[in-house]
Amino acid sequence: MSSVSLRASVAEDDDGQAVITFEAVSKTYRDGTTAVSELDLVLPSDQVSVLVGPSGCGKTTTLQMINRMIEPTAGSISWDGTPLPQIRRTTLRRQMGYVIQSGGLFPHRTVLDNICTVPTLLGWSRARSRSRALELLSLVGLDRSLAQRFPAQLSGGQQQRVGVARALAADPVLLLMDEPFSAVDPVVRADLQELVKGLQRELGKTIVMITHDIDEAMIMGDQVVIMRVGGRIAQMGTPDEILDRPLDDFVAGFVGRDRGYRALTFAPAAGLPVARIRSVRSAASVATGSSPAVVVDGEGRPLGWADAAHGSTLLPLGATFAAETDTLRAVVDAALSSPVGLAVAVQSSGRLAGVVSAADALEAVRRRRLQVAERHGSAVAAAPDDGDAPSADPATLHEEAGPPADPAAPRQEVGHPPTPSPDRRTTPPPDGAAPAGPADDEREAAS
Amino acid sequence: MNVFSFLLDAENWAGPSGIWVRIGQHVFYSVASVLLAALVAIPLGVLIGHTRRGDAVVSGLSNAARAVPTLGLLVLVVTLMGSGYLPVVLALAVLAVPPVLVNTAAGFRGADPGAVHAGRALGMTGWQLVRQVELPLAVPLVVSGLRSASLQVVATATVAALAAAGGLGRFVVDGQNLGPGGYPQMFAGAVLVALLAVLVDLGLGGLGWALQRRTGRISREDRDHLATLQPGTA
Repeated sequence: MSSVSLRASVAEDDDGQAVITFEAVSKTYRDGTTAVSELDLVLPSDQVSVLVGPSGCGKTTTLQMINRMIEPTAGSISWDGTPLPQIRRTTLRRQMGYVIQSGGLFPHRTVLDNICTVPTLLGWSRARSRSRALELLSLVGLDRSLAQRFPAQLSGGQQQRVGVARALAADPVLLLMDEPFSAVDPVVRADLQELVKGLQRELGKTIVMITHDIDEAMIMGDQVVIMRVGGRIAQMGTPDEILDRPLDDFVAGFVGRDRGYRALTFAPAAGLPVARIRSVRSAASVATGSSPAVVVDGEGRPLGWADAAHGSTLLPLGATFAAETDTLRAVVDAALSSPVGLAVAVQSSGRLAGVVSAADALEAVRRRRLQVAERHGSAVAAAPDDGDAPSADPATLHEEAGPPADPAAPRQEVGHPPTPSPDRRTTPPPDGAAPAGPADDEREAAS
Repeated sequence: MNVFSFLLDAENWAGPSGIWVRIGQHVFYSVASVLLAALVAIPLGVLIGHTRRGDAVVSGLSNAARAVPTLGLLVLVVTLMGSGYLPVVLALAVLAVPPVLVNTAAGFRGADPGAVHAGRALGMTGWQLVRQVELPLAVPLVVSGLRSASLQVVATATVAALAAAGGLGRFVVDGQNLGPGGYPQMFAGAVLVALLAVLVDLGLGGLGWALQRRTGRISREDRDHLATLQPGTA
């Protein structure tokens, strides 16, 4: 095949749409196992589609049929209307970036040469491939000094970044990701998820990703496809829809118990009433009998809480949220982890912006539930299932939302460590970050 | 009687049936048969390892070949083809095929599966995958296969003498015919074969080490080129 025609076709597709359409696709392996059966699926362009399901649900088979690593036994798959079998395998694959679980880097090639793989296959000049590779290296947040290292000299997270850079090297329209972050620890995973989301926003790629981690699917996906064993779709929709309206017990079970809480990830915090709060420079300067105040440093950044009842002790700040960019989930989390039941909002500079009471946060949650229920039609309102009803809790909490009356306070830490950076806030640990202890203590203490 | 007497006599080194000529013949047989074996076994091993098919062929063939007595094979080949260089080289090549084949196939099959999968998924053709990913990863095993084949061949090439084809085995055979007086000659043959085997082993070991080292290093030219590059400008 001539590299000239290849390059031309890659360039042509640069701004095109990349819709992958599955029509009645089945895959039965020679041993009789049906990995995928009668699959109808549209993977829209410029979006992140996540296929998620337990092992054996056919998600890997589905992904690998897109770049013809696996051929379907029945049905047809097309890319922008062109049936896949009409495109040469190698041509097709060079136009689709591919990221695999543990990087899949070539151990005998330097980081730079790994990234140059597809450009080299496409016949780019060495200088062009390499300068492109350097560009990508910085795009994925790696230092140029790593260019001449070998994969074994990098950490798992760095290797996976190189894997992403390699997949993006020839500027493919479509990016296929096969459980890309499952081999790294949760903190690195959150970073990588942020990286890919950022790249997607920036570069507008169509991404098809598979994972067995429902949290990751919810965080990453514009569209989430939940598959069940035997290669059938259990439910497909936005993360929001799936969390709010699981179609059946399988989905509900898979989505998990925390889904009410998790659904808040899709509601922005912007628009919540942020109330002013008194700020002081030192815990000792709070007068007796007055309401709690936020202790700030010289730059106006919140350090903790001060409360007359505790004298000059600095109470831990709890989680904070970014007033403009965070989600309702972060607000609720901040409220629940605050020793005084007030979620602390910060500006992008880190300066104190104000507070949102737990009551206001829950009111926002309630309004959102209603909104979602209305959007999904009256059937929901008529028969809300367990996860949909806000239940009686908010009312009780409402009364207790004020400052705690009791000094049976949470552990006090002087010199509380700085709060986590705001950008990490949106990606809580996979276990759903149990609402922090202090607020629970407060509630019990107050009742 | 000094066992070194044969080796120490300068007259035994020169001439058309002297030690130097015998060493030359021995080396020639060994090199020719290992090359012949490599020519057959490496492509076959690549094919089997790359396609992941034909494992039964590898194990069956190599077990069968190991079981074949070289001496018997030599007699058979000589009977069929007459004596001379070719039957000796053929018989020794049969001996050298299994280690090369088994190691090559294992090296290709065992190449980092993630890397191979990624290479394929990024659009490498089968040949590109072999050349750019599997071969570099399999080189250490292929070299070690060649190494053990060579060792075996060098040691076994003494049978060439039985096909009237010379080599260091000549000294052993001739010495034996002389009775007790031939011991120094037999000893010379044995020592020289052993020395040759050690040298070959060291040489190929060094080659393997050098190849492995080379794949883990960046050339100066590469480094210089990189230093002049700017991201995204070319």
